[in-house]
Amino acid sequence: MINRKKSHITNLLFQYWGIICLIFVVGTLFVLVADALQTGGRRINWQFLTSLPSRLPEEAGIYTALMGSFWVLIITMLIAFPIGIASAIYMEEYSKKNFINKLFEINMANLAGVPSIIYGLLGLELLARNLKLGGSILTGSLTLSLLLLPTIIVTTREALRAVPSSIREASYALGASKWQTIWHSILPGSLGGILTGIFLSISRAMGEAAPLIVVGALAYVPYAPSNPLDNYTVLPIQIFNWISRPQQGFSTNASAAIIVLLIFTFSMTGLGVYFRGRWRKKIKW
Amino acid sequence: MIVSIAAGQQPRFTLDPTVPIETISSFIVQVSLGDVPHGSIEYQTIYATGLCLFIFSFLLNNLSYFVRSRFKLKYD
Repeated sequence: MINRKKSHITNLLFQYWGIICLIFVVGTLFVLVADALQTGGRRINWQFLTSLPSRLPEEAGIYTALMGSFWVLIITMLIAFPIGIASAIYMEEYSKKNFINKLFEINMANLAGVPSIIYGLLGLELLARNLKLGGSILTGSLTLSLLLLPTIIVTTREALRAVPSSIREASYALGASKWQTIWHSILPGSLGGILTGIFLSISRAMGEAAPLIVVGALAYVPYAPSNPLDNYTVLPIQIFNWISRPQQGFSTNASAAIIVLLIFTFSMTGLGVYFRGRWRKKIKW
Repeated sequence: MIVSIAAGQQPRFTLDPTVPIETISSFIVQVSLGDVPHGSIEYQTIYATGLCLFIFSFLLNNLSYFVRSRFKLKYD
């Protein structure tokens, strides 16, 4: 009897402890957003979004950083997604369980855990110096693609694995070839999961600054990039640069830029969650 | 990257968690922010520190892979 009462109390205590931890986690995000809004909320206006960087905090804007971020993201997506999804399809649908494929698998788990700065060093030596791409948007995009590939492959594989094997077998039973099965049954069925992975990796790429600094993105670019071989800066680097300056005005600017960045990452994550929910409702196995 | 801002970018050897320190990645970022000539000592140093970081993460990743495959065997 006493024992039962004791375990009941322990259960209650743990439940409350869990709630406190959860509030702490969510509260951190809330405080971050509130702090950024309070410091930089009034700084966000059309002039801030469309101005070039300046040494006067009141005149400085994030136009070049925004354009740089867009260029880098679009080229990264064009490079990383086709390669990543194709690799995932191979690993999940075609590869046999032998030594070489197991090696691939361990390798993939390793790549997904490598710190992003290491990818920056790789990009610096291989792309910027050896391929002579310099500090261009192309170098940054290729580096970010390398960084995102393991994540994309892992999430795509999970999405493919979520398709029940009955779907596969039904498709084969109707006489479909392997490729027809993948194209007409498995890919449509897993599209929700794949899209979720894509949006999550976009929002991750948007926040990366360290590897881009290493491959030569500049903190100060006085013009918006117009082709993939131009110099560039991205939002997180602009924020980092403003935060390291002593003037009060620049830290206000940094908060405002943080709000803009947060809006983008939140909407990407939101889109990912939306697609996942929608596909789940639409497809009934 | 966040750590390089929050931890203060001051290299120092200490176990006291309340003083500013510097992480490997923020060291690499700090060096890369300046102009690093190809082949100079600084250039080689960021690769050496990067290699250390990579070895640590490589060991940890393999450990996690090992642990995960052990647990899979138990439940399957």
